[in-house]
This record gives sequence, C-alpha cells and structure tokens, in this order.
Amino acid sequence: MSELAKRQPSQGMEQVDTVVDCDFHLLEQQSDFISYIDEPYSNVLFDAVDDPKELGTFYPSPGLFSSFTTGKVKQERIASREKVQKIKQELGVDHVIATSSTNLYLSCIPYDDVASALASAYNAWIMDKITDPNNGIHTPIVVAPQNPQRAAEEIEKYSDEPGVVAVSLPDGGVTPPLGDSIYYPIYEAAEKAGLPMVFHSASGTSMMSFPLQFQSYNQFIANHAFSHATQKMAHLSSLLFEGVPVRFPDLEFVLQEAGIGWYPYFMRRLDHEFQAEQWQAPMLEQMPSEYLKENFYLTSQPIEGSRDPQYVSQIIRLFEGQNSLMFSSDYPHFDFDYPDELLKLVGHEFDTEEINNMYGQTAKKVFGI
Amino acid sequence: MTGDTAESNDGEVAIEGEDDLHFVTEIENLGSGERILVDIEEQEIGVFNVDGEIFALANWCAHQGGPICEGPTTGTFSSNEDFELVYSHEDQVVICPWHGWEFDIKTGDHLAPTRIRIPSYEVVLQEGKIYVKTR
Repeated sequence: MSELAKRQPSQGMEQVDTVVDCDFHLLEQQSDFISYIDEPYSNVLFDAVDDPKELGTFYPSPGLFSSFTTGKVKQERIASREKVQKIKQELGVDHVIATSSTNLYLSCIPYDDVASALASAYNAWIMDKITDPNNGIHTPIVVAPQNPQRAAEEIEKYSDEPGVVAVSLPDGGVTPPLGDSIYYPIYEAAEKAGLPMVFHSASGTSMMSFPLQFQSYNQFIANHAFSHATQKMAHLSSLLFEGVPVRFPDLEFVLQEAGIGWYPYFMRRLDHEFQAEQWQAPMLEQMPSEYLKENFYLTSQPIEGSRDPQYVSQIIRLFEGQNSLMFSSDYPHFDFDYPDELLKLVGHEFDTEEINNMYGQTAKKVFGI
Repeated sequence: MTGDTAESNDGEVAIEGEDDLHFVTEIENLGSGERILVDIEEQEIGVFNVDGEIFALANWCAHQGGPICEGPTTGTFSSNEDFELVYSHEDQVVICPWHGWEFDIKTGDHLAPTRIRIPSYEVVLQEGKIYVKTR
C-alpha cells in the first residue's frame, strides 16, 4: 500500500476532537506469535517458529482469489509497536483498537485445544510487542469459542491488564451460534471483567458457515457481498432470543466490519418476529431492538452507499447510530476507509457533538480509554 | 506491469503568452509505458505515455483520495460474447494502490460503470517537449 502520509484529511475533521479507530488491524503471521505458545505444544512444535511449511499454517484457509491475494492491492505488514504508531500517525487517529488478522480464522480450527493455545500465544505476543495504552494502542485479547472454559480463564488472566480493552471472539462460522449456553462462561467472565465482547467475521469463513453455497460462488465479491452481515444476523438472532442481554445485563457488544444498512432492518425484523411470538423468548422484558440500542455498538467500515450521503445518514438515524456507531478504518485491509470518509457522508446531517460521538467519544466509553 | 518513473518535476511556465501551459519533460524522457509525477500549481498530476500517446491525470483517486497515478499500469478483464474472461487493454489501465480501483488512463474513467472519473488535463506537445494545460 502506498504511503498514507501524503493524503491530508478534509478540513471538516478539525471539528473532531478525538479519533478512535475501532477496527484497526495488525497484519501479522503465525510465525510472529507461535513462539509464545505454552506447553505442551511448545514441546512438539519442532521448527514451527520458522516460516510455515507447505500446508504448515494451523489456520484453515479458504483459498480466496481476490485483489489482495493476487497482489493487486498490497496490504502492508503491521506487526510491531513502531509500525502501529507510524500508521496511526499517518491516518491521523488518536487511538487504535488493534485486532488480529490471522485470528479471524481462529474459530475455524478443528482442534479445540490447539485453537485455545494459539489464542493464548497471540495474546502473550501482543502484550509483549503491540499493546501500548499510554500511546493510544489498545488491544482486545482473542478467545477461542471452541473451548469456552479456557476462554473464561484467559479473560480472567487479562482482566486487569492496562491496554486490554475488550474480548475479541472471531465469529465467522461459529457453531452453534453465539447465543448458545455453551458460551456463557465467556460472557460471564467478560461481564465480570468489565470488558465488551467484540465480534468480527472474515468472508472466507463462509467455508464453514455456508459450506455448500461457498463452493458455488465463482467470484470473491459474490461471497464477500453477503458473508459479513449474514453472519452478524445469524449470531444476533441467537444472542437476542436466547436472552443473552438479560442474562448478562452489563455486558456490551461491538459488531465489526458488517456495514450498516442491514442493522436498522434487522432491529425491526427481530421486533417483527418477537411481537407475534414473544412466548418463544419470554425472558425478554423489552423489544429486541431496545436491547440492541442499549448494549450493542457497530463499527462503521466498510460504509456501503459511499456515493449516497443521504442513504448513509438516514440509515444511521434509523438505528440511532449517533449513539452507537463508532468509526473504524480496517486499515490495512483491502477495503479500508480513510478517516474522513465517514465525515464526508454524515457531516451535513449530524451536529458536531454527534460527529464527535461517532468518531471517538462513544468508543472512549465503550472501551474505557 | 511496466516500469514506472516516480520523479517529480516543478512544472515551469515555458511558453511565452501561454501561462496555463506547464512544462513536464522532454518527450524522449518518457518512454512508452512510463509515467512521471509533476507538481503544477499545488496539484499533483501524473503524466503517462500509453503506446506513444501522452495523457495527464490528477493524482487523487475519486474514491477516497488515494495516489491513483502511483499504482501499477495493467490491462483488465473484459467479457466476450461467450461470457469468458479475456485480458485486454494492456497498459491502458492504472490501478489505485489503496483499494485496487481501475481507471482508463486515456479518459480517467472508472472501469466499473459508476460514471466516476479522475480529472484529466490536456496535453500539448511542442518541439519535443510535453506540456500540461491547466485551464
């Protein structure tokens, strides 16, 4: 990717006090963190600290044929504190919530204990090499849903660690869906630690969640178009109608990288189902959309309809995003949003206070920074 | 992808009475498949040689302001009447390094049918020199 430094943000950004990038990505490789893995795995990884062998990475790969896998769009490697700082400055953001790229496929690993061990190794690595809260680099820890009890222990371990601002659960392909009771130890631990849950998918995880259809799509964009939002809807439906917001009333959730237009639709769709058959989820004391508005947050990237500011503004109003939408870039991924992209689309409709909420004030509260 | 030059040049006014013509470089310095970046009146412009013809585009991608003139030049896929993918327009397309959007160098048009266009500038060739006209 070319230097960001030459690009100056639009003047409207001057009204924004603090910018928190709520979905900034490390672009790391397994070889960056594998040496941090605990026993007994460290005893049997004979030379896995070197570059992965053929078929040697432990994360399943969907085999995407896309602009970034063909090298048409270069995604620069980000795997050090110094690199994060450099990019942070070039983007002009004050804080980043730095999430993993490799671990977007964590939930696809078939070996439960290996998945937990890799998550722990990654978390140890970021504490050592990335996290830097005094300089605006905040990191979620990542947990593997395959082993909820170990995930809860991992959360407890990091609950007082400065710089750990959330629990990231890669939701792509997670089965059963995230409202299931097997995951409650994770939610209990996160709620107790005062950390929000962050859900982020990867389009290639359609190989797990929609395996039959995935085989039939001949274009990367055909799967990418529906994968993210569909996963979120699948998990939200489960989370709401299993009553997770009632069971864990102080737990907040952040939904990343699914775009925005589906969200006001799905709020109303959930309400539509519930109003007719509330007996199926009687633990809910208010409409599903009310829980979403109270305890759930959305990150902005990728903004669809970017040449249609009226669409974007109306959608944000329709889910009351002035309170719950949080700016994200997704840098360095291939469809990142440059920081003033959101402002260009909402500047005419929202006032300065609302814009500041979306760009950083809401995130500061949610992530405690 | 062909090699590219990334030199910059301050476009100087060089033709008397025509102060909107800005000198870029000698024609012999810009070979086929090459490009040069120039700063003209605080606007960065990419000047390309596509098969002997010279074109000038603003170095500001219409998508999110990325450095469009610094991306690789390539061809692209089109679809033939049997819906098979055919590679064509070799070296006539420039790809934005930020998100991969593809633009026709000759017109600045976005290859997707969005009606987005990179602003282009008239090129004037005189006595072996390349000039860009800004008004």
